[in-house]
Amino acid sequence: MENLISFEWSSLLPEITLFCGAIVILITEAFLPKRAVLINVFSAAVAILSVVLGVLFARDTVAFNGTLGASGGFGIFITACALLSILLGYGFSAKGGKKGCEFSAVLLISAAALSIFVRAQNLMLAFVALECATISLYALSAWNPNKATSLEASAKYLVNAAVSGGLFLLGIAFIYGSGLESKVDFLAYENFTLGLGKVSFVLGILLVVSAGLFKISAFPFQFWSPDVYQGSPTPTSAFFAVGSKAAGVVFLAKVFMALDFSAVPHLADRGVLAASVIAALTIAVGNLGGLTQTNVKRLMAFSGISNAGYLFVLLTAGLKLGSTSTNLFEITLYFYLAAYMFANYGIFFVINQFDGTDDSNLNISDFRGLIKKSKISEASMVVNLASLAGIPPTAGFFGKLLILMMAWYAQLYILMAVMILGSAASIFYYFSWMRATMDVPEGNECKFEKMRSVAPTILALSLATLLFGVSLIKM
Amino acid sequence: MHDIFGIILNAGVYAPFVAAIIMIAFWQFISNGLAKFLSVLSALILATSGVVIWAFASVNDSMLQYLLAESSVDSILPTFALNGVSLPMYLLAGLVGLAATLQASNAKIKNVKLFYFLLMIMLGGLAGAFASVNVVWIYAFHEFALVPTFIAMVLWGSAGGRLAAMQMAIYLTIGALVSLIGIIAIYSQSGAESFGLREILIAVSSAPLSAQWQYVIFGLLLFGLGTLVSLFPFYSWAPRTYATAPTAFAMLHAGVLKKFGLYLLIQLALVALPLGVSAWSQTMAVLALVNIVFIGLVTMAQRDLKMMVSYSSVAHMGVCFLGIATMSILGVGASIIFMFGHGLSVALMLMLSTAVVNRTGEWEMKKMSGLYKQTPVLASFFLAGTFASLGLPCFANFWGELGVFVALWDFSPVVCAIAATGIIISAIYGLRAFAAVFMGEPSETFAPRFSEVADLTLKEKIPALILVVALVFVGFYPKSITADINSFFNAPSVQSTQTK
Repeated sequence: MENLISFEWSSLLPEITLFCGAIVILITEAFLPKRAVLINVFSAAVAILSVVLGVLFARDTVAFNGTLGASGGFGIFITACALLSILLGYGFSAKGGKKGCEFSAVLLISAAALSIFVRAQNLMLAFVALECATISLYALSAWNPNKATSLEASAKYLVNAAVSGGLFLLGIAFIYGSGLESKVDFLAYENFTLGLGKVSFVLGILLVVSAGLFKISAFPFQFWSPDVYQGSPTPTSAFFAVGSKAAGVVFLAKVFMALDFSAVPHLADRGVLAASVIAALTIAVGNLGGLTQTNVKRLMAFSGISNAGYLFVLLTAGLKLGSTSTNLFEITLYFYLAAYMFANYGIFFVINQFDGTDDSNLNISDFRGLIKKSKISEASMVVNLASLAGIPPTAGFFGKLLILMMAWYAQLYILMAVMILGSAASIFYYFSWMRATMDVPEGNECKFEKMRSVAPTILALSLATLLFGVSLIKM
Repeated sequence: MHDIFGIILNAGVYAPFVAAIIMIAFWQFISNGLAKFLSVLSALILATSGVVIWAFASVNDSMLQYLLAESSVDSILPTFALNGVSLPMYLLAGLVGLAATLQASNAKIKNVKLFYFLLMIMLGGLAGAFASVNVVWIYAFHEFALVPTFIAMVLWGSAGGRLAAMQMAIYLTIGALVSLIGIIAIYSQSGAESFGLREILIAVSSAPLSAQWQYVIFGLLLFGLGTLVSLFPFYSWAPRTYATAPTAFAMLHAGVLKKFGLYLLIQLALVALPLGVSAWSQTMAVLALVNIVFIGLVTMAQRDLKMMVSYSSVAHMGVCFLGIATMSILGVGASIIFMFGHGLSVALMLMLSTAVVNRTGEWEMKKMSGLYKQTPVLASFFLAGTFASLGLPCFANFWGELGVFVALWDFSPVVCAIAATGIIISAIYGLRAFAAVFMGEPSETFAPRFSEVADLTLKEKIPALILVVALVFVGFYPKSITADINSFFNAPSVQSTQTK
């Protein structure tokens, strides 16, 4: 007989650890309000424990009657993001930001929820997990409550995310409704293929995918991201840029891979065409928007949009190739996401060292003379911007190489051309920024306060960017 | 014997990287002088390794046969080996690298350590690009140069360097990415096991690509790599880059890095895509003629000495493309010799024109006449460099140009005749520049400062001498390089792809 005990709870251990860790942090803080370092070390321990548990128990298992899939590389990825953001948050409080460790707690909850969102094998579970993560993110983006920009960002995210949540839910309703007649649960990914013949199901999938597009800030749902990244405190912007976006990408990848068009070939062509258009427009919007941008956090947002575009090229290729290329597809996806994480956090750690808690007006010109102020930060800017621009031997280049190879196999030649033009355009803003760090300072730059405590992290991220790609070359 | 040469080759490629890593790891403890010493030492190791392999490794040595080395799958590190095409290029990287590193000690700059660090990264990348046997590594090593050159142009470039740096970065990235698509296409269409040159060659010799694919892929490579070599119409980045970049970087860029595109066309495209090359050869010839004639005329119109030298290097690239367009062994072989000679001569000319500009404080040629009386040594080197670029006998460039023109006659007499006008054009601008700078009487504005102009110092003579000696040596004894090139074309694997 089935009861609560009989479920495979061990499979959920990584997320349970994160949730419990968050609760312990909240309780501890009530008694030890001034021990930020201690609590951060504790959150790191929780995160590492969660990763270990994930590797031990949640691999290759499908639990809870098939609603929860295995925790693959994403569990490790999102926990790493949370850890890096907690570190950023520590620096943020140290330079005068809001004190208190709720930030770490909420971040851990958000990471756990995103992990479940990606592991879900059923749209209903995915929706609930996504909402849990999104509500945490509202709080995180308002983490700088004395600054209007932060509150504005939070409100903007709230409104936009509510719309996307509504779309998701509407999609679920359509999908569920289309299965009522035949008593098939179309919300389960495994049954997607059966539903493709029904119009209402296809409509529902489109709505769900739209919600995913919002999450990864792809065209036409990219408007929120520059404003929200700009206004949010830097640790949250970084988590938006990497963690939340990656979750959306992996979720979309799972949905796309679950759709098997072999029974309905006419839909396959249209699906690939629609995905190609979205990918091309996302790349165009991201890179064209980036060209005129001088605000660094908005620039990171546009860079994030264009990267969402490159990832969407990969998703399109995956959609077209279907299950024939699952292996290379997954390698490419995680490799690109990891490269993207190293480069983004490498840059956000530098941004976070500028004086003041409100860096929403930090400009490229404020980076002038960075080369004299901190060698490690300068090295990080050069290496990580080169990685985002896709210059060998950095990891970003190999990520792009893999995506281009997948696109070649899928015969998406026009998308490859768009990707190359986009990358070429992006050289302009990435290298302008790099050039600014080497220019002679004019004295009116924002003050840069070197934090020695983050130097090892920055160094590690830059080295990872530099050497990670080389590990791939033997392919 | 293979092992010994293998060790020497690895030592040569890694030497600049090791110097760079030592510099970055012990940044605080390394003085400017030590950084300079480390750089010169590693450049010397690289140059020596090139000379030793070139002088002692015999043609029958397994290492010089067509890239016999498999790109090792187990190792993360790249595998290095040379063949008849890559050996001259590797030697060129060593010689120009040594000259550029020595030249750098003359530059009066701030932040000396960073300068040498970037120079070593670039030099190591160049050596690695020509020595690697895996196309992805070749490509990646080539791109090592982009960011260092960009930084060097921003930090130490002359007026206009910031803008030129951005232009260069965008052009080179587009070119590199377009050719990357071509490389991916060759790899996936040939069904090769890996990106190794040898694996690709094996795959295409048993099952050549279809004519359609060869046409498309070579088109991608021609325009992608052509941008890197400043083939018309995507050449405008090159002159400004060479004129504004710090001289050592400009020497490496114009002398060695630019040959990379041609190198890959010969090493990869000519072997894997023979039908594609022949389909594009007419287009390639026309574009190359535009390079020779049109950009030659643009060069004639230049008044700025460094811009003149930079434009002339763009114009000369047309000859190399013509050699490849003939698709004959003579033409391609001669184009390799020309690449070798041109790399040395353009590096020499860039170095000497910087010397002239620094001494006179003027950029315009007309304002610095009569220098011969004050600087006889500089003038003689300059004349030697000019003669070499003109393709006069006694210099390596001569054999290259001669071979290309002979091969062109069979390809198309008309193209040959038009290309020959390039010699006249380059004679006009080369000799006119020499006359303007060194002959005649000093102009009125310049006369008061005239007596302060000093001749080349020993630190400048040594790098100039290295380049001139190499030019003259190959000029008198071309067989020292052609023997290696022949071994490439006579290799059974290459022959088999050409006959199919």
